[in-house]
Amino acid sequence: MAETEDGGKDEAPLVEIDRLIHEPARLNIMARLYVIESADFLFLMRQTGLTFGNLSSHLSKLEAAGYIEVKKEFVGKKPHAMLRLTEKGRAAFRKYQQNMKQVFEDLLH
Amino acid sequence: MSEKINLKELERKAWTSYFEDGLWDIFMGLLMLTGGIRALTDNVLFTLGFVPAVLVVVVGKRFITTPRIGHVKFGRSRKVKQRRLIAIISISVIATFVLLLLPLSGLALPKISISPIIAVWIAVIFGLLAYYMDFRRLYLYGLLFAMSEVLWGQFDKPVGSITQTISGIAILLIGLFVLVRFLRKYPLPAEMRSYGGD
Repeated sequence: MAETEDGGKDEAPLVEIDRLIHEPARLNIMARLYVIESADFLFLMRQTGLTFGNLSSHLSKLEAAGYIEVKKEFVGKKPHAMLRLTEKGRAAFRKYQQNMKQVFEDLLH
Repeated sequence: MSEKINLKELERKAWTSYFEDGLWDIFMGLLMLTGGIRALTDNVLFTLGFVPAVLVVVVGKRFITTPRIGHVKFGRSRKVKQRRLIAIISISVIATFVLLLLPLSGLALPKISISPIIAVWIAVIFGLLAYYMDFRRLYLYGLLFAMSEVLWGQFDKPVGSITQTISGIAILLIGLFVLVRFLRKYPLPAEMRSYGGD
């Protein structure tokens, strides 16, 4: 943490932590979408272990923030709703990783 | 969330969830089993053993696996791995044909037993497939396959084909066990609307 003029600690990295991503279930969803290109709802539900309602609710929040998008893709001959991180979502996740790393580094020094 | 977040491990877990269904094990088991029986019985009909094996994978993935764990598209690094995998399979198929056709070519070949070479070849190919597919049971199957090939060369037909048949049965049983575990772990979801609607 950077020193402030009065000798205190600058809490900027902590303040910058994205609370939307910081929630454990949403962090789980973001991390799983970050390592793949796209997945459907069922796949995410199986991977995260969240219930249908819980996952829906978190996805709605992430979608409203512009972190994820739903795209219709053809799987075989059928259109299928696939979820993916947007560029904004990927950038936000990377930033979150950096901030958290910084917070822990500062805590140890 | 108690689990530690390791992105590489998350990606690997997503990928390997597609091998939790045991269908590739059943595929390998059926191939080895029918190959062994075909050699034991000299019944050409068993050469067609690959047909049910392929059907198990294609139909099983569509009607068993996907409805239970859903669809996923993997990222660039996994696609690169998949391309390498396809290259390995293509090269191995061509090289195997060349190896098998060599004795028929009329070339003056040194009189050596070809089975250890084929065994090493099989072990290497299975090892590469296991590595690129992140499918660790393939290491074991490669060893079993290679071992039956060595025995085939050392003790003549019955021992090799019996070993192959037994290995096939063992792999098939592993596959069935994994499939049952998969079906229990991932029952068909109750009527579920997809997020975003289909």
